[in-house]
Amino acid sequence: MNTESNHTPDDIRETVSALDHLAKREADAAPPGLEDRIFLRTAASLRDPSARAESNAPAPAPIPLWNRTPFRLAAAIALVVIASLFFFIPNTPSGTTDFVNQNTDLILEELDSILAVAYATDPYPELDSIDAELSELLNNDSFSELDAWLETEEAL
Amino acid sequence: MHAMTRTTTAEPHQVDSLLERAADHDDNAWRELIALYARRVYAAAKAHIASPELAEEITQSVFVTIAEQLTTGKYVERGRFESWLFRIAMNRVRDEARRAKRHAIPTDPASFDPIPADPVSVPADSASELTHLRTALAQLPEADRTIIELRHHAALPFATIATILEEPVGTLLARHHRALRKLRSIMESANEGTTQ
Repeated sequence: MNTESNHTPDDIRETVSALDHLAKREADAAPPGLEDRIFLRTAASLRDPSARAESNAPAPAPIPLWNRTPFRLAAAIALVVIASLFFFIPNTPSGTTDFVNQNTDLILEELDSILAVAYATDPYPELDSIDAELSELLNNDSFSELDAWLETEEAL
Repeated sequence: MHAMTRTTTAEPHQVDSLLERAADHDDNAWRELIALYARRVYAAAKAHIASPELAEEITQSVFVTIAEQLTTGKYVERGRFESWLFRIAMNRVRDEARRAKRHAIPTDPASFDPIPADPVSVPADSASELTHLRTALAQLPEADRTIIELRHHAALPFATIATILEEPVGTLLARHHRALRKLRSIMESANEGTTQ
């Protein structure tokens, strides 16, 4: 297959000859009509170089899920609805939450009155009254309901 | 359509003229170029890839690239068409070989079936020798294999191969010689293995 073999060293002459023989066999064994097929499939590129670019252009990548406007809108609506549920729908189960809220309000009212007394006058002479108020608060029957509830919870 | 099976060589000035005409969308010039080079590109690809279908696909993609470069004025290798063509071809072959390697299922080389002989009538001894030679060729390092394929399958002169591989001709000659000695040694070792 190669014509440039005049200077082939003796030690590789046989290998060169075998290789040339192999190469010729492989070239001769090329599928019939190879050149015609190559011409038919490539002539379009010669006439219009953009032909292949168009046909072989990769398909546009799918739009990422979160880039899709409808999905964004749906996500925003879902967020608003969930937030509204938290704000506007009364807490359930009503029993436990109402009970805690009522007692919290009572404690805050008591503290308010204690602080009002303390700051309206010299705090030291009024310490006794503050103490009395706190004792009254701590002994208040309103906590008995809380205690009962806590005991029930512990029992569970 | 007339069949194109001619594989000859052309003078550089003839090739340049064909290239100019092809760049002007001359189908006949394009046919001539394909007739001159397609089979050699195919042979070089087939030597490396072994699959005839893939070798034809590579050949086609090389010519598509050539057509695009010619018609868009990007071909600037005037007078060095062969080295340019085969550089593109060998890059494609290497890419394909890498891709094939990535997807290859590991197999015990000892269990390889003998490569079937081409459907051309040849004496049994010759067919087996060629199979033996192909197997040995596949065992050569990539760089040695490339030189042999460019030289013997693509039928390129050493000067052109030197341009493609960007090496001095002297170095290339030495490397070619070494590659062939390695090939011979692989074949001899295999022979010793089978005769023992």
